[in-house]
Amino acid sequence: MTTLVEIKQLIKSIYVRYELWITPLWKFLLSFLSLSLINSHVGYLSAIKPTPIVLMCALLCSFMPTGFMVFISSFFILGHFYAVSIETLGVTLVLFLLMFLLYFRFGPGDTVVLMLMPMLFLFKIPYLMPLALGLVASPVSVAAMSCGTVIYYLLSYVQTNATTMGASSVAVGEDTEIVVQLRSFLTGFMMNRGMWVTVAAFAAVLIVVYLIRRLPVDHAWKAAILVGAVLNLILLMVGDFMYDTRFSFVGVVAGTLISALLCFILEFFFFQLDYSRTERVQFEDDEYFYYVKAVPKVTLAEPERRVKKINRAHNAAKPVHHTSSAQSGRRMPEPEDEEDEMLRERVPSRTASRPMGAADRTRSVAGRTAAGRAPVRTAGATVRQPGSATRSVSGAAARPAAHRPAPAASTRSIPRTQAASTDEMPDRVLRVNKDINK
Amino acid sequence: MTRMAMFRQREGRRDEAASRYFPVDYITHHIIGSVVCATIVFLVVCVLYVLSHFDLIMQDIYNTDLVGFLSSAVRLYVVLTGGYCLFAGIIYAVRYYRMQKRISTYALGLRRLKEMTDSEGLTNDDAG
Repeated sequence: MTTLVEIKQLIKSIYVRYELWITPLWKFLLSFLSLSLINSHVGYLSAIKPTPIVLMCALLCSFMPTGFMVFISSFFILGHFYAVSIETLGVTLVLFLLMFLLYFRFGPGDTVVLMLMPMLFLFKIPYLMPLALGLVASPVSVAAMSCGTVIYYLLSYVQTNATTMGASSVAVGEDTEIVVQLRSFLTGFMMNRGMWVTVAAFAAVLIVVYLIRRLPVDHAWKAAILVGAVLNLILLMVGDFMYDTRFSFVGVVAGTLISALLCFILEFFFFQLDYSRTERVQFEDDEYFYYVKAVPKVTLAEPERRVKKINRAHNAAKPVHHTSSAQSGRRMPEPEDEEDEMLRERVPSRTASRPMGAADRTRSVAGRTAAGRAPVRTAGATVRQPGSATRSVSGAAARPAAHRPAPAASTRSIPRTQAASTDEMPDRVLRVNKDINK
Repeated sequence: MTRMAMFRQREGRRDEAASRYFPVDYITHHIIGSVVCATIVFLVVCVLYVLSHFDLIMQDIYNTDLVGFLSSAVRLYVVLTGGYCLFAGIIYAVRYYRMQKRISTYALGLRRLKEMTDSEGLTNDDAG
């Protein structure tokens, strides 16, 4: 469990750190997936079907607000429906207009729901949406979810009947035939009982899940998921029994189970509480008494970064010790300036993970030439700080490892003959190491 | 302070624009918009209905009580638009109430921040 929490915190930290890039990326992927699915299911207009066009549109969506994704998707759907017949285009246009005027004035933030809903239907797990929205959203999201459901059934209806709808319009082309087509399309689409049963069942599930997860009881989210999943099963089966909607029983059960599992993952990310540490406190201010139940979230403390400091000396008279605080038994001095801070941040990733041996110590002084670390830069740094003693160090650094004399295994510090004889030594060593670490 | 900065960058702009209205003006403004939207929707649906039943309407046009038909259509329009506007009014009233709450919380935070900086004797430049 601890590992999972660590992974969760890692994912969160990565998202926070790279949010600037991750947000356009998910927008791009969502738009690309959505447009590709539209093209694959109702792709009747060949002009907007090629992949480069889809890629360009998805790229455009990645840098625009989320509402633009809906606009582009609607444009693609209308284009394909225009290729089917003018009546289909008219009805769909009116439907989109109704959605825009009646609903999206209130909840423009739910556009992602509208995009995801038809996709989840195609992936056979639409039951995830009411459960998930009940957990993380509010009952207002019912409207967006219902709109998404209607759009899916519209796409499905056109896909099923495209041949007859297109053929009669093209072949006859008379006004009366258009009227008949329009009426049959409206009747066939609006009288789809499966659609209305699904809309009603999902709305009920979302509201029930929302109400349960808001209850001040332990494990409210888990209870909400379970009750929502069972209610979803019951409502769809009852709807199927009453209106003969021809839902697949196995499909509904399997989809609901998968959706419930995914919701438990959602709970892990958004609502992981430690009920064993629940506290009940009471306090008051000038106007109210407060009776508070506080349940802490499950979090891990930030791991303490242990820094082993090398190449640090307080004055040149003393040798520079290359040992960890644990080895020497002394406490590491606090950093004194920004350079020291930078060194403390960089050094541990390479050296602090294991005890430092004699060879390591020598390498760290000699610019780590043997490990293949930029000897040229080390030598360059030395040229800027001329000095006989330092030259000997940098010279060793610049030479290949095979040509260097082997260091003594018992050496714990740089001999004074190799160290600088002035007070500049600590700064110089720091600068050399900074160059290496770059 | 971080929360205040986040609020300022996210909801703050929208709330600031809305807070310039009195509550009644704000709600009325949106109800008028809702009436316009509902009217457009009603007309579009009527046109669609007429188009899809055009042949039947033309067959019975001389036998139809047009006044009765129109009066029932107007009644339907009033009921639908009234219901929609009532819904919109409730939604925008709740939004205005929540917005006021957020703004007052933000103002309280600003006041506390000012007291903190005053008590520490910092100038604006130091605090900024």
